[in-house]
Amino acid sequence: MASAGSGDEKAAAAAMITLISSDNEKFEVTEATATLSQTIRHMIEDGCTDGGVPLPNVTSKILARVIEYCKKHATAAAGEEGSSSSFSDAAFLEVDRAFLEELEEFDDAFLEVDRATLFDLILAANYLDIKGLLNLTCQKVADSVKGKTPEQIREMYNIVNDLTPEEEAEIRRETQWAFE
Amino acid sequence: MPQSMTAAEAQADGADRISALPDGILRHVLGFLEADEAVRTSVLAQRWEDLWKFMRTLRITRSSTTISSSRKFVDHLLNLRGRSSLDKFLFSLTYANDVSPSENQVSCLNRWTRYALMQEVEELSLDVREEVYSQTDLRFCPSFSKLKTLLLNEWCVTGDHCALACILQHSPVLEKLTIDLCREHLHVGLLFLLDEIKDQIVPSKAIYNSIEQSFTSEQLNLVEVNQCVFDIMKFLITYGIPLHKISIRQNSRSSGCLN
Repeated sequence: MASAGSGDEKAAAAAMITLISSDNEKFEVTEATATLSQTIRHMIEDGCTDGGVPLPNVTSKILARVIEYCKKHATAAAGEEGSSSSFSDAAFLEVDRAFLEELEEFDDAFLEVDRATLFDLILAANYLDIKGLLNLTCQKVADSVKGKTPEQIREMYNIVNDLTPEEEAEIRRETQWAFE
Repeated sequence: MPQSMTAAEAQADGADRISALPDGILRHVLGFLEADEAVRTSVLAQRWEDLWKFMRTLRITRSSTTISSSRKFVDHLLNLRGRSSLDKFLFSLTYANDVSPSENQVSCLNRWTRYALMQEVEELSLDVREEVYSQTDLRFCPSFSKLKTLLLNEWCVTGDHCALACILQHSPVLEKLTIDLCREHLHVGLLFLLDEIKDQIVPSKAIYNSIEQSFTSEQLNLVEVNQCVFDIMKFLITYGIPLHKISIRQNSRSSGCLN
């Protein structure tokens, strides 16, 4: 954040972090991008990012997508800060709205992935502790089951019903108030 | 849009990846569902039976209904989840205009709100009609030590409007206050809001250009007044809330009140 806020290009260039995927691919990113991940932020604070940050749980394919997300959102965050401090009239509201709309469009496009990728992104967001990405991807899963019956959800996600008919009936009885 | 999520595709890869997610993530997913939908996932499989009891967000939206008809649902929900940690309580209740709520129903709303505050939520949203809310027993609430985001609508600035003052006084870390007013309530709402803010300021330092210090919360950095007009803005600015901390939103529901 310090490097992004200073506007000093040299300082920003100096603060590059190398992320290493599980399949050993290296990604160079700015500190501002990397620190959207709380996990990496803590590693930077502890000074243990020299020689790169190994991420044994994240493949290069997924890491590339995660970085794409972080880059976009780090830029947006920096832009927002700038807009609120430098405008003192209604114009900034417009700027703000434009930023948000652009970000929303980005997020929508970002979520156009197959289900396996979506679950990989969720796990990566969780491991890297990137709140915005975790919310975005979990929301997508939630949206996909909205309005569906339990049977439809099971079919959609290959969930095997391991409850006996008696057990299922019992649960339905206990939660009858939510089915009314 | 959801063509990437078809049943055909699920069959193709065959694995139950959703149930393989860690508990914390599944609970997080459930938190994005309406509470009743989240509860209904309990019959999916053993893995899902109790997950909903540990969701950290409760979204309860009831419409075209009376409080009594929601009572059974909300009481069961809160009783069964017990003391599980709760971060967000988002409650929205709209029902037919000709129904006038009984005292009993009002006490339900109070009880549910108190539940949320006792669970130390960070975000509280109470979107209810003002007539249904009596604030008296909020006064006996302890400090809302974690409350960061608060959304209230008409009820908090009408009636005896002590709830807003009470909540503000007991929320030391409040960062964002949203007051959702529709046009027909704007003027009455504005007057009470102004009183409220004055009351907050005068007993403390009476420094009109530092309202953040005057509230008990030094962190309060965003006051949103939806459907707001210039007057409110001017007032807030007069009292020292910088323009960039005030956000104006026009939501579709309120805009119906414009005409």
